[in-house]
Amino acid sequence: MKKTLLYILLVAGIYSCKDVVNEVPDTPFGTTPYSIHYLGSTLPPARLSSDNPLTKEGVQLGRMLFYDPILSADSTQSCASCHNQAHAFTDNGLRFSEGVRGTTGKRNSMPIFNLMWHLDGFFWDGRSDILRHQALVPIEDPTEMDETIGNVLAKLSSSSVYQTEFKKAFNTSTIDEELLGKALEQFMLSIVSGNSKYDRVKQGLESFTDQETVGEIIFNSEAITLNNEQNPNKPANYGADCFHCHGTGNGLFMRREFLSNGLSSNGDLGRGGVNGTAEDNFKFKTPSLRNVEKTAPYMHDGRFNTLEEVVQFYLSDMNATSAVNTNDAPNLHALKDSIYLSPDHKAALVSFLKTLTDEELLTKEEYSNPF
Amino acid sequence: MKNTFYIILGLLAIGFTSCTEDDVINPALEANSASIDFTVNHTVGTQNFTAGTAYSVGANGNATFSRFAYLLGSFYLIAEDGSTVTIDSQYAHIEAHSGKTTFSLVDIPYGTYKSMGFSIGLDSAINHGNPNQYNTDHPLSSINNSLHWGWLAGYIFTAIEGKDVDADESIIFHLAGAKNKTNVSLAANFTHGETGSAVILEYDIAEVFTSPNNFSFTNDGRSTHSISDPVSTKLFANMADVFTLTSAASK
Repeated sequence: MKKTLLYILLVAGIYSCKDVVNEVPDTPFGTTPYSIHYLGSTLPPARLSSDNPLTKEGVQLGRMLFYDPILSADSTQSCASCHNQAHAFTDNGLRFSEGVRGTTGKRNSMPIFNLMWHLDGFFWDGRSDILRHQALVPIEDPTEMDETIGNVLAKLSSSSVYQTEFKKAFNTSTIDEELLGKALEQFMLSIVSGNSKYDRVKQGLESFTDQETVGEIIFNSEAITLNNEQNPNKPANYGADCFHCHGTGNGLFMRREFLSNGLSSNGDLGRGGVNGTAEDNFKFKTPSLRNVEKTAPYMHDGRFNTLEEVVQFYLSDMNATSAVNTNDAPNLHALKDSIYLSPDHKAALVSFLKTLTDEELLTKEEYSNPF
Repeated sequence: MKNTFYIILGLLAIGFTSCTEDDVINPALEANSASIDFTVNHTVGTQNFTAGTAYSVGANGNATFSRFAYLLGSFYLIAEDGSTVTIDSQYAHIEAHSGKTTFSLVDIPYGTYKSMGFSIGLDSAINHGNPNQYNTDHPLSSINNSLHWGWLAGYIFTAIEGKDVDADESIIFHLAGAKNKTNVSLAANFTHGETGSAVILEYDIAEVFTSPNNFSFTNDGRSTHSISDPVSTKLFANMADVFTLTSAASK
C-alpha cells in the first residue's frame, strides 16, 4: 500500500507542471503562441530563449524550410533528406550521409527531437552553441547542401510564398540569415518525443513485459566485471551501468557533458577538435537513447549496425582499444574491463531500449512534410 | 473505477502544482529583503584548486580532479536576537572544476546576522521528489547538474571524479543518500540591508580526504556509488568541516 501511495504521489508530481513549457510572455506581431503539450510525460520543463518564442507561424515556416530542397545548391536535398522522421530524424539507416555532390561526411546523422533540453551545443562535437546557428551550417557544408546562405536568401526572397510566410512569422518580408536560422530553430524545438511505451508505463497506462522489466533493472544497475561474476558476494542486481550517462532521472536518457565512451579512434578528435583542449579529444555528445531502435547505425561514426553490437561493445575490454586512456576517464571506471551479462540479460536490455521508441514522433503530422 | 483513479490523480496533481520558485517567496518579506551573493573559493590545503592539476590529498601522492560538483540546500541565518530565518526552496549547484562557483539567495530579510548554515545535500523529501519539476536552469534540474541517479535513488550530493595519478587509475566517488546530508554551520557577523550582502566561502577539498579519516585510494578504494559502504561512510564523515567563512558583509 505504501508503495502504491508513493507511486501515485510520484505520478501526480509528473502531472503537475507540464501543460505548457513554451513560455511566451508576449506573442509578437499578432502571431499565435505554439504550445508544446506533453502533459503526463516524464520530461522536465524547459526554458526557451525569449528572443525567439515559438509561434504557430514561425514553426510552420521552419517546417516548410526543413522540408524544402531550395536550401541546397542544386535543389535536390532538404534537411529532411538526411533527417527522416520515420527514423527519428536520422538518415535512413545510413552510416554517413551523401551530400549534393555525392560526397559523404565523417559522422552519423544525429536525431532531431527534444532539442529544447540540450544545453551545451549541437553537433556531435558541440561546435554550434545554439540551434539557430547549427541550422545554417549544413547549408554551406560542401559535403552536405553545398549552397551559400546568400543564395538561399536570394531564392527565398524571390518567392512570394516565403515572403508571405516570413511576414506572418516575423512581421517582415526582408528575409535574412538570422530569421532563416530562427525559423528552422522554431521547428526543430517543436519536435518533442515523450510518448514511448516507457513513458506510458511510468504513467501507469501500460505495463512492461517481464523481459522489459529485467532490462530496466539492468539499465539502471551497476556493472560487475567478468572476473567478479563468480564472486559469491556479487550484488543481487548487477547490470550494464547505462544510467550514469543515459540517466532515466531527467527523462531524457542523456547527459549534457561531452564524454568518451571508450571507442577506438577513427582519427576524429570530437570535442577536442573544436576547443583545442587535449583532455577533450575523442569526446562526443552523449546522445539520448530515446528512439534508439530507429536511429541505427550507432555511435558518432555509425560503426555499429545493431543494438546488440552496441551492447556487446560496452561489455568488452576497452583498455587496449580505447582512443582515450581509460584510466583518464572516470565515466569508464566501471565499464573499461570486460563486463559480465548473461545472454538473457543482454536480450532483456535491448528489449528495454526498444520501449523508448515513440511512434507518435515517427508519424506525427505536425512534424511531417508539409508539401 | 478508472475514472475515479484519474479524479484522485487530478486532485493530487492540483496539490502538487506549486512548482515555481515564486510560490515560496513571502510577499511580506519582499519590501524589506535583498539578495545575498555567495562566492565559493575552492582550495586544496593552502593551494587554490584548478581542475587537472595534481595535488596530494589524504594518504595519497598525486591526484587530479576533473569533476568536483555538489549541491547545497537547507539554508538558514541566525539573527543577533537568536531568531532563525529559514530559507526554503533555494538551492545551489556548485562546480569547482568548471568555475561555476557563485550563487545568490534571494529575498533575505534585512537584519543583523551572527551565523549561517546550510547542508551539503538535500533533505529526503526534495531528494526523492520529482526531479522533472524544475526548469533546466534550476540548480536541481537533473539535466542541468547531471547529479541525479534516478527516481528512487535521488540526487548525488557530491560528485568527485578524477585520477589517482600515481596508480594510473581513475577515481569516481558519487556520494549520495538523504541520511548522509551534511550540516554546515558558520559563524558570521554582518548587517544585511537594502544594498544586499556578499559572502565569500572557502571549500578545502583536502579536508574530504583528511579529517578525521585519512583516506587512501589504495587501501580504501577509488570508487563508490553506494550510500553506506565503507568508502562513502569515510568520505561523508570528513565533509562536516570542508567549509570556512572568509567574509560576510553588506555591499
